[in-house]
Amino acid sequence: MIYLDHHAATPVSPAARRAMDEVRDQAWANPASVHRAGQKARSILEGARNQVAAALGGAAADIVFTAGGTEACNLGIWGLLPSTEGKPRVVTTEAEHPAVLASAQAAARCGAEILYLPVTGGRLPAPEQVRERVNERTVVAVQWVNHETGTINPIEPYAEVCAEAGARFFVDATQAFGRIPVQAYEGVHAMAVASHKIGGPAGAGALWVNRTTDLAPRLHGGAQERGRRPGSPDVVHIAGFGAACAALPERLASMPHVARLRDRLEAFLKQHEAIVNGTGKPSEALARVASVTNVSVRGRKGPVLVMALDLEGVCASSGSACSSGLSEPSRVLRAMYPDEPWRAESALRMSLGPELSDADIDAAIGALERVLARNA
Amino acid sequence: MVSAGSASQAGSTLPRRKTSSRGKVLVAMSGGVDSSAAAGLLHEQGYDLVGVTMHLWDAEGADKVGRCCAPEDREDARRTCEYLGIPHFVLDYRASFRKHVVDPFLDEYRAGRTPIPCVHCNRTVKLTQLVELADQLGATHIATGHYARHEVDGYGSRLLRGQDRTKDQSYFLFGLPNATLGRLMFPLGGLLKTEVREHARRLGLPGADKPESQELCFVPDGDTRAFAQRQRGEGQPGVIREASGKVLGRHAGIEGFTVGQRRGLGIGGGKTRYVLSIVAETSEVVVGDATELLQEELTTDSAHWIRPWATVQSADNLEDGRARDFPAAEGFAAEVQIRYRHRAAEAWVTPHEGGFRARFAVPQRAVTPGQAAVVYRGEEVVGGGFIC
Repeated sequence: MIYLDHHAATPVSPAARRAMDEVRDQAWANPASVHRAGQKARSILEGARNQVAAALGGAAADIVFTAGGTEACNLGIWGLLPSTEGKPRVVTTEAEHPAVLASAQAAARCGAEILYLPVTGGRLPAPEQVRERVNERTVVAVQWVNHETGTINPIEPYAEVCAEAGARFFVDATQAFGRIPVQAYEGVHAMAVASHKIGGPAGAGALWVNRTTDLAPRLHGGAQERGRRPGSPDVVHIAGFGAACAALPERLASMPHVARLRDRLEAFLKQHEAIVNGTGKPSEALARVASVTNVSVRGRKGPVLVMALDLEGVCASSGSACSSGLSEPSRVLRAMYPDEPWRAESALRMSLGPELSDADIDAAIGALERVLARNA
Repeated sequence: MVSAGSASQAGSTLPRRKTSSRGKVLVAMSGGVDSSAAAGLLHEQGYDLVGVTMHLWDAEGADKVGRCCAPEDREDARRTCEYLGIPHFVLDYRASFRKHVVDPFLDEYRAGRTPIPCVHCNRTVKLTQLVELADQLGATHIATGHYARHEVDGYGSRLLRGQDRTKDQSYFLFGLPNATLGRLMFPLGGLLKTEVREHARRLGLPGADKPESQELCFVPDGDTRAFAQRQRGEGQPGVIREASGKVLGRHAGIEGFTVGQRRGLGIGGGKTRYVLSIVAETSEVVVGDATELLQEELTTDSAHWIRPWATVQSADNLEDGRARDFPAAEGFAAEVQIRYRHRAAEAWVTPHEGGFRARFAVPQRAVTPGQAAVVYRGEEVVGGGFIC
């Protein structure tokens, strides 16, 4: 099996697996308990918190553990909505992951105003154009890296603009984490990351929260996570997440290798009438993370390509993995290419990780060759 | 060529895979016992299978559980494939199903006819799309759990009735393009339903004891009128009258009425009356007694011939060993089935451009516009069309 769906979930790294195996027998107790069993679990939880904080260049107190990226995004957006009088505004894009998009839309149903920034070709508007649309009643919710195309968004200038306007800035860093250096810039109020995109297990995530920012909890319950996320945490998976964070420098160091493999794959696809998505206008080449190529092959159906590749032993995707196995054309690509609906229908996403070798890419290219040779 | 389903014994004479290079078979899995058994039998015979479930419609309300089109059925299909150790994919064909099956179904009722959506679904959505999918997935054949048989002779594909006459589904398959039919395998064609269940149990298939679904998959409670109302709003009210013009009652919309219908007319006691015809323009339902339902003749449009009708004729006329080319006006003797639950009746069939006329030896009850008239010669489906 050649696994090319690292943007959906990465294989659990040996370090994360080892960490979970080590703590499995001790981490079952409730870390909020006073006794020694609880203390042991607490110690594992806080150790992991330090690892996650270090990977984000922040302090342990800034980290709120969640059950994954989606929960962290929900908490970030809803937690930052101003609670005082007046209509809040959420500024986002239609290229966001559903965790962000649906959170913003739910806020709109509860009375917030929602404003979508254009994302034509994958490019966000220049920060100065955003400046006039945000104020102190605004939450800007934007992803650092697009989950389908890997396009890198200009987070630092957006953070500056938000800071100037007094707007709150939520960054979905889920697909940036482990692929490019991620840190909380001045002006970022909250930032979501997930374990299963960096070699950790699914079921753990975190929201980094600026320590001077008030964050309203989404769930109601106990005082865990300083009252920001009640509920007994999943210490075993959080330990795996922590170990994956500790291994982040190696993961980042492998990105040139990953980029080279991706470029080989992409070069082959381009020779076979595929068009690369999320690179901006033809004249420009927006920065992308190394880990993904997202192409459209005119006349093909993305979901069918994915099935055909699966039967050839290659795991890929036609969009984000979050549409419950149904083959809705990619909402991201529809937003990026409103005049070219065929791109969304014929999209193929292949996302890579450090475990892959040239031999794997040779095999994937062989499979693509067989599949694309069939009549469309 | 594979002529699966020609087996008269319980799945024992299906062609076996001789080499691993024989190719893949895509098997359509609804989650029901029939398609599961079809997959199980082919798997047992060594075929290289890929299970595919088509997501056609989202069940509404309470129907979401335990009926066709429910998430539970897709899960049953997945479980069966997992049990057999074969890949399984779910494909979203909801847009296509609505456009080509459900919308025309509602239009037909509104036009006063009684549609037969399964024929359109098989022809336009299900099997045609599966052929395309098979091409993309590198599969040579498509297998389904239909009770019908497919054989190949010198003229090409032959579509035959299923061995189990109470389950025979050849009626719904007459409209398949020959290129599609040529790639189909019907592993249950030679089996009785009871044998299919036995096989499912013997193979330990997860859905072996699952109850049958009888109604249309998108109208699981069988209440077409309520379905039409939910989808299209209130119908046009009108009168229920006799042919003479005498008004016997009123109705809230013609959708859901069908020729030959006796129950649910709401015109009270007296003698039994049947729906004779539906006049969409004036929203009238015309009723009368049973004898008025009898008809000697029907005409169809949108006919599809699996066998060139002349070659059918030739079976009787092989004087010089060659097929004779008959002028269309001459016609041929056949049996014509006018409803799914109708015993095909002897008729003289005269093809014409785009359709045919069938003249019955004995007048037939409730010839219903919109339904399929399928032409058989013995076990074999020659073709069919839609009653005008």
